[in-house]
Amino acid sequence: MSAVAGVSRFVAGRLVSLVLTLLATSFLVFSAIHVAPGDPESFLLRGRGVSPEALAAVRTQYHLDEPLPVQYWRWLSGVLTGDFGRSLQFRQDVGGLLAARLPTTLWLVGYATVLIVVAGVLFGALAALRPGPVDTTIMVGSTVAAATPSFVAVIGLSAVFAVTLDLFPTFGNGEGFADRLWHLTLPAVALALSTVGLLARVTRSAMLAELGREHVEVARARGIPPGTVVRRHVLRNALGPITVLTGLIVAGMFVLTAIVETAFGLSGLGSLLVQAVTAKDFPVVQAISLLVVVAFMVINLLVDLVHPLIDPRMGRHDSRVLP
Amino acid sequence: MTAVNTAAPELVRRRLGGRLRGAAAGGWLYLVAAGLLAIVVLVAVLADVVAPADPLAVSLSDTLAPAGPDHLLGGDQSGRDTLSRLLHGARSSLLGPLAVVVASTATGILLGVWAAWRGGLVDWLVSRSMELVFAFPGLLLAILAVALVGPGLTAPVIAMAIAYTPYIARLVRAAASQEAAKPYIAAYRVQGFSGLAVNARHLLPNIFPVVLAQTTLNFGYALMDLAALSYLGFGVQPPSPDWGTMIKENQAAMLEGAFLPSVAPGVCIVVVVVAFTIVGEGIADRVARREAA
Amino acid sequence: MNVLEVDGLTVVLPGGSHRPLVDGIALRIGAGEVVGLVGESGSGKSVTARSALGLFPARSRVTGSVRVAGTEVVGLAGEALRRLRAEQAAMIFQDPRASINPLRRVGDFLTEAVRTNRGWARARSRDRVVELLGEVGIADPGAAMRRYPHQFSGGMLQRVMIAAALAVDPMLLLADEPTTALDVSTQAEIVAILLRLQAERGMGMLFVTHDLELAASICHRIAVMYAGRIVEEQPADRLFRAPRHPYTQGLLAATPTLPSATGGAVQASGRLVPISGRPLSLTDTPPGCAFAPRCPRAIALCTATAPDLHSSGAERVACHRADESVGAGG
Ligand SMILES: Nc1ncnc2c1ncn2[C@@H]1O[C@H](COP(=O)(O)OP(=O)(O)OP(=O)(O)O)[C@@H](O)[C@H]1O
Ligand code: SF4
Ligand SMILES: [Mg+2]
Repeated sequence: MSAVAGVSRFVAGRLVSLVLTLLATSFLVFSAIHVAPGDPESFLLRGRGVSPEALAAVRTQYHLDEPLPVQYWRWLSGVLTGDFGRSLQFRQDVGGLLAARLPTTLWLVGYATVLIVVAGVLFGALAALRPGPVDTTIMVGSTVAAATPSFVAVIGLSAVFAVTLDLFPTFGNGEGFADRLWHLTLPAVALALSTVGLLARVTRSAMLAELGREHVEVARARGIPPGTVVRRHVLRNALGPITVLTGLIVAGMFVLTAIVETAFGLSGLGSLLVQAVTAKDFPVVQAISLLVVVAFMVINLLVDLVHPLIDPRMGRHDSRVLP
Repeated sequence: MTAVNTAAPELVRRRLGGRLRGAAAGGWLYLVAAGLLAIVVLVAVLADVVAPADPLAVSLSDTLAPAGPDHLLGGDQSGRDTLSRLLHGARSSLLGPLAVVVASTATGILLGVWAAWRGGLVDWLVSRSMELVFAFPGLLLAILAVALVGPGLTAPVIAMAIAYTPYIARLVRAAASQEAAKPYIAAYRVQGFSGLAVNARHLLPNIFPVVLAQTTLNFGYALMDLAALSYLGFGVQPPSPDWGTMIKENQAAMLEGAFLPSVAPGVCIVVVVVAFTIVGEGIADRVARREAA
Repeated sequence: MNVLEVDGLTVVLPGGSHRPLVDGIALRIGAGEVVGLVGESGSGKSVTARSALGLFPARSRVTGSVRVAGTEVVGLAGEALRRLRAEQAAMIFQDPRASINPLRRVGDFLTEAVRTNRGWARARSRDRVVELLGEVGIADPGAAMRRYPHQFSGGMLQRVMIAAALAVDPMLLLADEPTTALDVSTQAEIVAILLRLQAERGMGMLFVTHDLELAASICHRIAVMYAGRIVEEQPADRLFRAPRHPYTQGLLAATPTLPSATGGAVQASGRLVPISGRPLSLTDTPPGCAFAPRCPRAIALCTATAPDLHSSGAERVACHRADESVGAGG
């Protein structure tokens, strides 16, 4: 009935706007070679032998003889079938390179996300529920944490845990699940630190706002146990802002892997991006930039779709269709 | 029967108490943070005078020298004086973000006021372009700029100015449409004042504090992003002193137990960003209180 | 047995620059009795009503005694206080929309108390709630339980509140302006439901309202509050016929219609029109009668010393000139 139609219209609308934004952003990423100083083919071949064959190869690969919209269309259809072109540095398909590097980055981002959500919500909740010294300490800590960029965190973490205490490795990816986690622990903490502070602050203020609401006092007045009140009414109702911020954090985290992966010698997408920029390997830069932007938008879409489940008042549809 | 009620405090009070306490602490902290920033700026300007040594003077005998009377914060990987490099490094570490926030705030205000004032198609176009830019994290745009133009501070600063513009534009647009809807603006318009004059004279001063708060917070973020870029080797190029570059150069020395050359610039970054956060949030608090009053 | 006995209840905010929020309150409610608590905004009605659940303002200093079904509430904390709230007394608040978590289903709200406090199984609590929803006049209770609060009208939500309060079979029902936020026709329905369920179950009920006329039509006894004190208390019909405190007289002068003494038909109109002058603020601490600045009958004594609450039989009044006002001399 109309409720289902409402939901599908909402989802469809979001998908259409996602596709439009993706088209626009991918066009920006694609046409970057035309913004670069000099003509595109010598830009793409910077620092490499500019033999006539090489020039011709690049012109064909990028369809530079065709008008810009056609170039873009060909590039895009390639991308959609997994063909990101060839890496000038590795002389290898970019798609294959990315596929090999992707798991490390996903593990790192996933690990850091778990840390951020667990620690951020925990500290934020603690600060909201324990006014006084506990709150003040957490607030000071989160302000400092939020001001600590990941590469500074790398310095501090290596100094304490790797060099002084020799507890964690500071280099390499690791093999297998446990070893991988082991190797990814310091990088994930470095990646998480500044945003844990952010999420703790938002959790705290969302919970404080909720604690001041009448329905929470009514729940207490009904003799509901304090832990249950916090879980079912305070934390539950603070989930909206927490989810939105977590989405933004995860979406923005992919580019930060460039710093952390480089610092810890992990071979993921982030460190590949840095290598590619250094080696002037633009097809790789382009592909990774596109992935980062796509990840950003897809995650934001997911948050938008999840939000009505958290707050039934948000949906433009009858909540009877919700689980 | 007598009892002092110690059950879970009710929030009406706590928020009030918290706000009062916050205002007192905020006022005090705010001054300290602002004072600290003033000192950092002064040091950056007067680096030539206050630095004890030449930040570029290499002295192999002082390589990773411990802190002492000759080198208050020790020597770095190449035997350069860490303190002098820190003081000089304040320049590029602050100038980059300054350029970013000045450019992004100016552009953001223009776009925001324009969109709010003209509405319709202009508003739609500005809003959509801002959404597009939002999809590119600042650091990614900066890295893309380096990939296109090569290393150095100029291209990343321009890229980040673009990336930070939507934050200001969105804020200004919202504030300006609210302000523009107020009767006094309509009254001015009826009296025949031009849109621009009314904007400039009445709208901007009113939205200025909010924008200033966001700009101050942005300064901290831009500082972190640009330092990260230098850390990756894309920003300020060696041997020029810069906090991000210093961390990169001396990271390897940590394995030899020399922490100061990389930890000191790290501490500088954190302290300055914390100070910007406190000042920015202090301004935002003041705005909120003024609006509540 | 009295389900509520309040004696000398005084609540003082920390800081010391304020007069007490409530000062020396004494009040009794028997099983099956409906007692009205009437007064202007800020007179301390809510503070008094909430004290029965041990809901005092943060860090306030509480003296006196509040016993619910024999249990002393002042000084009660932790598990014991929770059990009292879960089993003995329930409260209905002014704004049902603010009182119910907007993000959870109405069914969750209704079954929450019995499920968490009595450990009832899902099916059993559901059956109980369906039955209660029927009693408060909600059609199709099963569907109602699956909906969210924003899908209900205010009147329907107040019925939900009432059903939730009754789910734990309280001996004492505290209704703090349960109809103020509702429109007029709904007000009468809600009051009728409350009265019916109160009578059926033999609960004691404290009915807090601005509306003296409404109170007179449904309560057995009425206490009138002014500036944190009870200034007069009488059986409802006597209070209406022969008010003895100038404040009560002022209130009645402003609401001329007489209610039906049986309390059957509820007149929800005729809200309390304020008497000229401003209510006493929390920071005013006059030595004499708090009503003196607005009292048409004030004399010199009134501004010098505060009148005590004198009882004679079923009536209590705090006024230096109370005896003159009924012409009994003195
Ligand atoms: N938690 C609190 N902290 C501080 N002051 C409070 C608190 N609760 C109540 N007060 C003050 O106590 C006084 C009495 O409040 P109360 O809520 O009991 O009035 P009321 O008679 O119920 O009024 P209304 O008709 O507006 O509900 C008011 O001046 C109020 O501001
Ligand atoms: S004591 Fe005096 S001032 Fe107070 S109500 Fe009675 S007559 Fe009026
Ligand atoms: Mg009240």
